[in-house]
Amino acid sequence: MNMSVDELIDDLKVKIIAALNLEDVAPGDIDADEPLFDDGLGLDSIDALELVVMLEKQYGIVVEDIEVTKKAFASVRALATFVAGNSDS
Amino acid sequence: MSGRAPVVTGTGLICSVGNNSDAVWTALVQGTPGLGPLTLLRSPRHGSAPVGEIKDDVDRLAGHLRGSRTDKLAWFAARQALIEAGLEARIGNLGPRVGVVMASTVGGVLKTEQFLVKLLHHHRARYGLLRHHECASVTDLCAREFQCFGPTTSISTACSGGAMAIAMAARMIESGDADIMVAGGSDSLCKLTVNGFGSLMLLDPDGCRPFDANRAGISLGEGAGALIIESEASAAARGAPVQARLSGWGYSCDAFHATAPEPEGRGACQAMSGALHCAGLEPQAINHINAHGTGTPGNDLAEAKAIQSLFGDTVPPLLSTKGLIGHTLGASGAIDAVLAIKSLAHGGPPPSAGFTTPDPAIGLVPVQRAGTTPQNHVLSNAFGFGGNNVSLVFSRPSSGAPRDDAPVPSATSTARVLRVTGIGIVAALGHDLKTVFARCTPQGADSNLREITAPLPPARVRVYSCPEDFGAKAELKAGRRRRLERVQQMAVVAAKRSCPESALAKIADERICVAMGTGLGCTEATAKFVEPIIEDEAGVPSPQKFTNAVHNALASQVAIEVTARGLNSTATHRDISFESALWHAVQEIKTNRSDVAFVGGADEITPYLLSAGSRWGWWSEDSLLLKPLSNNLAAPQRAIPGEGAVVFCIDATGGDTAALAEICAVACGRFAMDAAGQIDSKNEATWIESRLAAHNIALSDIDMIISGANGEPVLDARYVAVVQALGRRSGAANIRHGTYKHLCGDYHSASAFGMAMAVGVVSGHVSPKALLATDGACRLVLLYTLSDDGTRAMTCVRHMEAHA
Repeated sequence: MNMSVDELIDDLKVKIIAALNLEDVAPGDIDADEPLFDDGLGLDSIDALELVVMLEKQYGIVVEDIEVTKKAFASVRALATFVAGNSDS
Repeated sequence: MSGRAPVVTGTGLICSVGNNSDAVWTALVQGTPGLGPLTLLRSPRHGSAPVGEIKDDVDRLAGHLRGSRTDKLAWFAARQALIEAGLEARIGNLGPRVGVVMASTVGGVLKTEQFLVKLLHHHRARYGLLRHHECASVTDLCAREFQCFGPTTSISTACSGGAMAIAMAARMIESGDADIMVAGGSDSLCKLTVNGFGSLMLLDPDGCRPFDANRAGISLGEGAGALIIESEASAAARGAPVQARLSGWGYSCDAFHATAPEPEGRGACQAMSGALHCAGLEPQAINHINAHGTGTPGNDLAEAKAIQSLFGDTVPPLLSTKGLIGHTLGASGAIDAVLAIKSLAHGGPPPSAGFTTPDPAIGLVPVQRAGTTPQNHVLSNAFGFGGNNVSLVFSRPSSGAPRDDAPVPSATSTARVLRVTGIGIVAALGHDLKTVFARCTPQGADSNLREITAPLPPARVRVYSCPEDFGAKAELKAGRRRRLERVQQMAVVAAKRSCPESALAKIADERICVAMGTGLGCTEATAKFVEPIIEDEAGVPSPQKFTNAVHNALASQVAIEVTARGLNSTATHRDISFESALWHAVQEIKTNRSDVAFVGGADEITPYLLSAGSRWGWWSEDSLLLKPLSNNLAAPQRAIPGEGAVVFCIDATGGDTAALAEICAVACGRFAMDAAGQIDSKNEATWIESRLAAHNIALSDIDMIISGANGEPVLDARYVAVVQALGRRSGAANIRHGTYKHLCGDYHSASAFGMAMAVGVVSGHVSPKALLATDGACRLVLLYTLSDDGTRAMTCVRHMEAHA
């Protein structure tokens, strides 16, 4: 699986919606550059952990330290960049 | 005081560093390591972090007893406490004035996991392994083995459970409901919690370090703690030495988040100051604090802030036991209570294990060497998921009288009227009160009687299920709904509809309490969390499911919905779960700690429940729409499973909202069997008569009895026997007997629906005929509930205007 960051952005939007059960959100509603947490989609700390689970299940990326995610979860684009840089293993 | 002050006469304890309080104390003082590798179960995913596992053979310690590891640990600690209290000769015959309240978070989940292994890997459904799943099993083993017949219930408020059970037991002593209570908490290690806290990234790989700058999470432990709490008069009459006075307790709920504490520690501070106020003490009287101190970055910081805001610059010595024995979840509040009591005799706090580096953000350094100053008053904290906080104060027996403004026990306080001002309801009949009342007919709830297939073994089962759309979309925003399991949504919708928001405008959040009863809580979340890790050891479980798996997720979500920051209690004792919760809330109002209570019951139909119930003969494919109390008791009959959520708003302020009815008595306990193996109905009549008399109600005042009859012949025969005995006692041979399970189905907390029917009858909204009783005016109704584990409850509901 070798996707570009832009492809990953589209892929991640769908997978985030499924993982977090965001039934009233469509992929097109998510701005790739808007913050995922706080003001953006209104996600919380448990959602962050669900996204960690999603990364492992969908992309095989094991996150050991929640601190790592602070940067990666800044936006969908940041997350796509993180996935692109970690998924060759 | 009238000799009803609660005192402690016995303690019992088992955990990773010892199986009695002296051994554990010595280990704490010497710093004997209690954390080590997990060997009890295989957990490749999150099992590498050290745990406080009990190395003793627990099955051997419990001898012949059958039950889960949690049940056996509880029994072991409770028996030790009874022996220490000088009650050994009465074990097996403790009688009607002795009760049991035990807390557990996981109950028999360790066995449930074995069930799932057999099911998912070997395709064998060994339902016997689920017999001890429920938290109630913990209490049940103790009550049966000790033969206690006083107030009996189970508490599940996550990590504050053990302390909550102790506080509830103390109130049972103070109120006069019992003379002696066995109270505590118990939990065993299991895959659910190891992987649950692992998935939340809350396990410290190096072992937990409470209040340390480098703390990185908890270490899980297992164990049980138990106290014998007794009235001062009872201890004096027995000549039993008093180890401590349980001089104060305080509760609060953060009403903030499912798992995270409110970061400023407001709720924790409120619980501690409530306990001090209850004890009649100023903060400077506290000699040390046995902190909750779990070792997670957020919890310790919030607790430290709470302590500093209450104690200012003079924070007493503080410690956490969790660096040594781990976090024993529902047991921890009880284990810490035992150790707090021991510190009174030992003249100082034990050292706090796992600490090396002060954290400037916390600004507190826990006790490093065992203290040697005499201890008069010790504060012990236990905080749980859902922001569920409990603080206890234990005092040396000779430590002086409380101050004058401490709350007065209810025996002498002004009677407050428990006005039911609203009911929120999600049931097979509908999801708003008017509709449900209007649809109550003798024919029952045909509209939502559905036939579904239980998965294993396949069985066609008729169920009373709630409508697919029960108002969740209308009442809850998508962002909130997506985090909640179905039964939580049912409870939150019911709570929201029980009271208009405006009615709470004048009530302080801290004066609003929540108490929920649930037999099975959110078992679906537990199943969905555990299944993936059982199916495949490398499976990835969902952290969200884990946070929803705790039983008190119902009550904490209700608290968030209605912003209730007072007591947040969850009772999980089979068919008297609702009445147990009601009892707790009623006491809060009577003692003037709360003005408004949201009290309810909620349970849902799940595939595992249907399968197990079918196997056990609770219901089966031959089940028909049966009328409870059928004359033909010999015919093979079964109950029909149901589900629902009912929440009552009880307002004691006498505010603007008109009341539907008044609750005038509630009591719980265990029934006895007679020599012929039948329910001792005379004894039941005596119990009900005496509990009513305590509220100045005569048996002859009762217009109707509403029972939990469900069509199952053995149960229904018991109800009929008791109703007939009550009729003979009151002189009304044809006392009216109504039932409600043809309207809502059979489920653990269905008696909450029963109480809605009682309110409906006394307020004129429901005809007694709909409850299969003869018609006629009803002003005073008795709700009577029997549970198959031997517990029972009674509640009395009165027409509002009839109150003088």
